[in-house]
Amino acid sequence: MKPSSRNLDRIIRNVADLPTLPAAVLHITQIVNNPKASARDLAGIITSDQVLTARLLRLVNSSFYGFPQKISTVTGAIVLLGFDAIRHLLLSTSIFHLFSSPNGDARFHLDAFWDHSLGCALAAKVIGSRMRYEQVEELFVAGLLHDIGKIIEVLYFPDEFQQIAKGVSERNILMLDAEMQILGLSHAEIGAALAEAWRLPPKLIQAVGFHHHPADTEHFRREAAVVHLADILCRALDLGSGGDMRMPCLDAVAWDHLDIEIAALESILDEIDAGFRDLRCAI
Amino acid sequence: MGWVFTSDAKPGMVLEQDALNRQGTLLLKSGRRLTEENISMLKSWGVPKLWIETGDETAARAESPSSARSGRDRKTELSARFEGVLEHPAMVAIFEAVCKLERTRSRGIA
Repeated sequence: MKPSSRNLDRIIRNVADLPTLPAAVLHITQIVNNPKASARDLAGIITSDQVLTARLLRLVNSSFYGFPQKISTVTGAIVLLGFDAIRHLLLSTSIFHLFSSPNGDARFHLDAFWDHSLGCALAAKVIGSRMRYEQVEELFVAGLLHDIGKIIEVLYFPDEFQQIAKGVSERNILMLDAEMQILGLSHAEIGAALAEAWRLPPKLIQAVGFHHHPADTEHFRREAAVVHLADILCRALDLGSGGDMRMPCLDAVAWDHLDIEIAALESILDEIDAGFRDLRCAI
Repeated sequence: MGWVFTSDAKPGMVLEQDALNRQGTLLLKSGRRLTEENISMLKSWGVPKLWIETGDETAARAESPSSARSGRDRKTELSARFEGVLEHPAMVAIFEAVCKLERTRSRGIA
C-alpha cells in the first residue's frame, strides 16, 4: 500500500475522533438533500438550538447584510434571507466555531488561516454572483471549507505538519507541494474525506477535493473552479494566510469553465477587498 | 531592541509586542520566547518582522517601517509572489489590479 492511501486510511479510521458538527447542523444538512423539506421544518430545527438561533440572529443583524430594521425572529430571518442562505449560513458559522475554540499555543496561527478561509468564502460568493450562479451561499461554504484539510493536519499530524511548515518556509514552495512530499497526500484530499464523513453534499466534497486541480474532476468542475479562482484572488489580496507565500498557477481549463471576463477581475477584487472587513466583524 | 526581520529572528529572543498578521490578527503574544518552530511558523504565515525586547543583544536591528518603505516592500513581495504564474492573461489582470489597489491603499496611509 502506498504511504498516501495508508495515511488517508488512518484519518478515516480515526473519523470517530474527528471534530463533529452539532447535531442540529447535521440535521440541517440532511434537509438539504430532501426536496420536500419546508422553511417551517428549518425554523423548527434552528429554534430548538439556542446557540444556532443566537448566531443566526447576530449574523442577519450584522453590517454584512445591512438590513435597515432589526430582525428578532428566526422566521423573520428565513423570510428575508431565504431558505438556502440560512442553511449555508448556519453550516458556515458552526464549522467556524468548531475549530476556533482557543486551545493554547498549538493553534496560535489559526486566526490567519481562518481569515484566508473567510476571504475565500466571500470571494467564491462574489465570483458566483458575477456568473449568475444560483446558489451562491453554497459557494460561500465551499470557500470556507476549501482548506479544512490543513486543520486536520495540524490536529492529527502535528509532526508532519511541522515538517511541512518548515519545507514551506525554507524552500518557499506551495504547501500543497510540501504535503505531497511529506504526507503523500494533500489537504484537498483530506478535506474531501472529512466533508464526506460529515455527509456534506457531493458538490461541496468535490469543490473542496479539487480546488487545486478543477480540471481533474468530472463532477461539479465549475464549483471547484470558482473555489480555485477565489483562493488565488485571496492570496493576491493578502487576506489571511493559507500557510505559504506562493501563488498557485491558474488552471486554464478551470478558467474556461467560469463565465468571467478578464476585464471584470478588477472590480471583483475591489468588491472582495471592501466586503472582507464587514464579513470579518459579522462572524 | 526594536524591529527584527523574521528571517533574522533567533530562538531565545523575546517578543516585546504581539506578532500580528497584516489584518491585525494575533499570532503570538508579547512576552513569548521565540523557538525555532514558532519562527518557522511565523515565516510561513507571512509575518515580515517582529518587535523584540530591549536588551536582547543577539537581535539584529531591522529598519523601522515607514509607509513608503512598506509600499515598496509590498510591490517587491507581490512581484515575487506572482513570479512564474503570469502566463495566463487573467493572472496578469489580477496582478495589475492588486498593484493598483496597493497604490490606492498607500496613498490612503500617506
